[in-house]
Amino acid sequence: MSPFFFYLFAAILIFASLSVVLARNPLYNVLSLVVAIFALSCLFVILEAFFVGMILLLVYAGAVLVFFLFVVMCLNLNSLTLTTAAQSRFRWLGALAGLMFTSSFFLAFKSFIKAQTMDASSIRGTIEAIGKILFTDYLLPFELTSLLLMIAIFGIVSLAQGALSTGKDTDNS
Amino acid sequence: MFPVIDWSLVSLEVLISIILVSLVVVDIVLPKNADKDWIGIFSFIALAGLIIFWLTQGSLSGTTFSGMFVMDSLAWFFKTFFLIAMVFVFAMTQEFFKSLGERRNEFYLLLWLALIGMCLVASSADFLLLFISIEILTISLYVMTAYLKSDALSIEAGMKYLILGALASGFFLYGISFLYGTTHSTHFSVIQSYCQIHAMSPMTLFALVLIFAAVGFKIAAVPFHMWVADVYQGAPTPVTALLSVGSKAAGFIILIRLFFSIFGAWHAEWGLALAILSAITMTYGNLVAMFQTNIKRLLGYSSISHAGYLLMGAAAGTALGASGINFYLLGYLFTNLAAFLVIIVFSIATKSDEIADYAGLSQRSSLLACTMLLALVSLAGMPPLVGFFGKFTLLMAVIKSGYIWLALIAGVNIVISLYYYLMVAKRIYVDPPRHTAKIIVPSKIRLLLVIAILGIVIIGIFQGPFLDAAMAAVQGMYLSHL
Repeated sequence: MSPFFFYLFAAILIFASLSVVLARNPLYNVLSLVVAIFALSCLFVILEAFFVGMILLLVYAGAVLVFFLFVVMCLNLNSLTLTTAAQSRFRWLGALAGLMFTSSFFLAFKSFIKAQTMDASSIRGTIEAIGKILFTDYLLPFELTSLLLMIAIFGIVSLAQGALSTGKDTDNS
Repeated sequence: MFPVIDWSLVSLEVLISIILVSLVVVDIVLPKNADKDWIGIFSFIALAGLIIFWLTQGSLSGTTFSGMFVMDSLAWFFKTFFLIAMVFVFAMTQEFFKSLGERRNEFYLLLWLALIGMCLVASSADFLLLFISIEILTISLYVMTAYLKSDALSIEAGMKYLILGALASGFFLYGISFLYGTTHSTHFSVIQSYCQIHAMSPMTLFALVLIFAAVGFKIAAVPFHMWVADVYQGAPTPVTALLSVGSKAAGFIILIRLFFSIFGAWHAEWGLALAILSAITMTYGNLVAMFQTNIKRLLGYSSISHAGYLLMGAAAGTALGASGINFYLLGYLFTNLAAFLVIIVFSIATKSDEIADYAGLSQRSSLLACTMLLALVSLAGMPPLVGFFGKFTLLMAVIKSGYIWLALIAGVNIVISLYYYLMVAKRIYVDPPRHTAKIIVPSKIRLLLVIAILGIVIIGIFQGPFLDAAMAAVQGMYLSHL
């Protein structure tokens, strides 16, 4: 695969991510995130991790972000006045922490690139390979994710249930 | 090739899962009746059975699920710890939901799920499994923290915990990905052998810092403590008790596995950093705790300072330090849960968590007052109670490792903490009561209070066997680097 596509999608990813943070309209934020995730899944495909790329596109761009869009549209957040960075009390602290994090990240990454190069062909991202690994080596974590889903169901049911009977609850708590 | 699974090693987790599923069925089948707390009774019997079963399984050891799940003495010790803690939390929950009959059953189910999460954390030998176990524990805690939907404080606590917890999870995953990039594995044994051969690189340092940030969030160490006070105050009291004991112990077992096995070879690099963090954490917790007026907030800050004391054991980096952590946590279990039992009975009777309302508690219920006094004095570290000997072990560990300044700071902190613990004790025993109505303690809670008092006193006086157990837990640790 020519590096041209890598640089193309990486550039798209960076610009879209910046737009997620910087755009003032919540609708644009969400739509930029869709573009960012599309570019990211393209990067995965270039790395021959087809399954991850596909799932990223289906789950995030397809399902999660559509939810976000619904929420943004339902709440009509356009009129919301957001706090700008200049208004925050912690902006210098935030800038300092961000700078420290980024610089140490670059330092770490520089040493990483020097130390080794990953062989792309050793990563097998096909559905067959992932399925085999999930049901053999990673059987326990895979099965345990069902417990996470169970918590999600209990949580949603019990928290949403309370909303119907708030009148009763307020007397007691 | 399908892996060979040794089911006897995962017996506790399998049994808990079976109980969980049967409780769901019971919940659906039995008629909804606000007076009969079926699930609570069922849970109690199941938990008692589990503890008896688990105490006979002390000799289990080995790995299964392609080396991901490890059963060693450390895991056995902490699983026993979690089961005992859960008995108290279930009793608190039963009391707590007597006034809020609704939505009680789901709460029990979430508690069981949190228990599975804690047990799995104790047995993880792979970062992937560890991450999923932590998430099982933490996500069920998010839901339980925000459980009182009509209480603004509870929702605020749940929201704060969720956002900061998600950030911590992000850090954790980021750290794991760096480790994976360097060592090409998520398994503890591979990473450990990598660390023994290679020196620390900026890459692995970055990974270590990120992973520590996530664990620091769980154990409430400064500077990852931001959530503690608000969450402790706003969460339903049984959840606060679980957070302060179960969740903290889960954090410390990860810490023991990280620093005493995986990264054990790099003690020279992280020892001093942990010692400094420990000093900052205990000083911050104690100084801020002095100005609290809410008992749950006070215990929140006190929990931060105890995380600082416990970090001393990790900073020491010796077997004595690790066994000191285990012993201290064992004492902290009985001490803190005794305090929370008193708080829950008191808040149900008076609808208040303010320290000012505790005035004259000794005249309203001598058992509650006596338990609270013992718990506070043990938290402060007075002999002959268990808190004293725990602190003594940890101090000895850091002095032997050469951190005399840290021991001195800890000594000053113990004096500071005496001030605010004894202020509460003074309110309870010296100040005149605002109300004179007696507080009735239910018989089950009375029994647990007595057990907690016995735990505080007996472990404090006859430390020998318990210290041996704490030491044995460390010595039989999987991939130990001591």
